Amino acid sequence: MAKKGNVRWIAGGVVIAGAIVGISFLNLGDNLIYFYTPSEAYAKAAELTGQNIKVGGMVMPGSVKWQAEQLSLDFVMTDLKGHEIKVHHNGTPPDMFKEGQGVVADGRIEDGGKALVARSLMVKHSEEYKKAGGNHSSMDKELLERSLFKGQQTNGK
Amino acid sequence: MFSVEDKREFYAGALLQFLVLAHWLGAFYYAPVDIHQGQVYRIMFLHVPCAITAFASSLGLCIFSIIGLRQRSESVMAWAKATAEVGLLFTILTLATGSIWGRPTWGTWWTWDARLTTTFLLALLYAGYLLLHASMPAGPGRVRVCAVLGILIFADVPVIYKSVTWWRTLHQPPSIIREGGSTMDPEILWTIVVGIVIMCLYSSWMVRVRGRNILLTGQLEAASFEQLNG
Amino acid sequence: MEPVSGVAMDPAPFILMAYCAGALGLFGFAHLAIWQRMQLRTQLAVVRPNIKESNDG
Repeated sequence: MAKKGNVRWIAGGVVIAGAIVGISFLNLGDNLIYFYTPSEAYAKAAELTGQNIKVGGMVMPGSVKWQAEQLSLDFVMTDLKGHEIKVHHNGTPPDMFKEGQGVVADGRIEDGGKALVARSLMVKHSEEYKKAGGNHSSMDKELLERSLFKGQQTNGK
Repeated sequence: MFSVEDKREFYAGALLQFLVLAHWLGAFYYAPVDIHQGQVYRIMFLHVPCAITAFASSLGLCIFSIIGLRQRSESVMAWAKATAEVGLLFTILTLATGSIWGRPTWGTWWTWDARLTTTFLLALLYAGYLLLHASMPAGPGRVRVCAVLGILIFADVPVIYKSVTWWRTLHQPPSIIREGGSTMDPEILWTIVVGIVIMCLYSSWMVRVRGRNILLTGQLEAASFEQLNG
Repeated sequence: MEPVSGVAMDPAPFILMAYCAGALGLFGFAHLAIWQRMQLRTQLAVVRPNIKESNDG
C-alpha cells in the first residue's frame, strides 16, 4: 500500500470517528431538552403549544385521581417550588407511579402551559437502593428533587 | 495437542463461570428486597457489571490500539479486536438488561435520554470498529486505521458516565461512587461491587481466549499459504 | 406497595428474561471461544505438526 493511501485512510478514520463523537455531543446539547420542568413548560408555553414535549416533576401528594373503569388518570406535577402542571393520561400508569414519585410525562401542552395531556408516562425513580423494612433514613425525596430539577431555568411565574 | 496454557485457560474459565453463577445466587439470596423496586431491582446485579465491563473494554481497546500503533504490530491488533468483540457483547447485554429492567420500573423499554443514547452509540462504535476491521485487508494500513478508531472510541465513555450528571435524564444518577457516599445499603452495595469485579475478570478471560484464537487462526491461514508456495 | 392501577406487574418474567439474556451472551461467548480453541488446536496439530506449543505472537 502506498504511503499516500495510508494517510488517506487514517484521515478518513479520524474524520468518521470524530464526526460520530461530535454528533453525539451536538444532539445532546441544550438544543434538545430531554424534559422541561413545570415552570419551564409554563414559561415557554407559547412556543411549545402543539408540539410533543416531555415535562418532568414530582407527583403532588393528594392530587392523584384514578378512574379504573376508564383507565383515566389525573394528577398534578409539581417542581416543589410552587409551579405546577395538571396532567391527564389514559392508560395504565407504570407500577412505580405514586404520590411523591418522580414522573416524566410525554405529550402536549394545553391551557397556556397549565395542563398536559400525556400520551405516555415514565417514572423517574431515585438512585436509592435500601433494604425493605429496614430502619434507615431515606433520601429518596431529596435525590429525586436534585435529579429532576437540575439546571432549572426561568423562575418565571 | 492442547498446550499447558490451553488447559490453564480452560480451568480458569470454568472457575470464573462458577464465580459468575455463585454471584448470581448471592444476587437473589444474599441481597435483600429493595424498598422502592421490590424484587425486580435484582436485574441491576447483572446490568451494572455488564455496563462497567463494556466501558472498561473500551479502555483496553484504547491501550491495545496505542501499543499496536506504536509497534505497528498486527498481533497486538488481534488483542484489540478481541477486546472490541467482548466490548460489543457487554454493551449489547447492558442495553438489553437495562431495557428489560426499564419496562417494569420506568414503564418503558427505551427512551432517547443522554445515558441510553450514548451507550447505544458505544455499541455502534464497537460494531463499526469490527466492520472496519473486516472490510480492510491485513496490513499496516488496517493496523493504523483500526488503531486510530480504537483509541477514539474511549472518548464516549466519560460522556456516558457523566451523562446523568451533565444532562437531565430518565436514567438515575450514580449510586455507588458519588459525593456524600453511596445511596445503597451495604448488602446491596457489596453484592454489586463483587459482581463488577467478577465480570471484569470474566471479560478479561474472554479477551484472552478470543485474542489467542485470532492469533492461532492467523497461523492456520498462514500454513495454507506456505503449502501453496511449496 | 400497591400500584395506582391496582394490579401489580409480575417481576419474575423480567428477571428471568434479563438473566437468560445474560447467560446466553456470557456463557455462549465463553463456550464458543473454548470450542473454537479446540477446533484450532486440532487443525493446527495436523497442518503444522512440527510446532508443538504454538508460540503465539
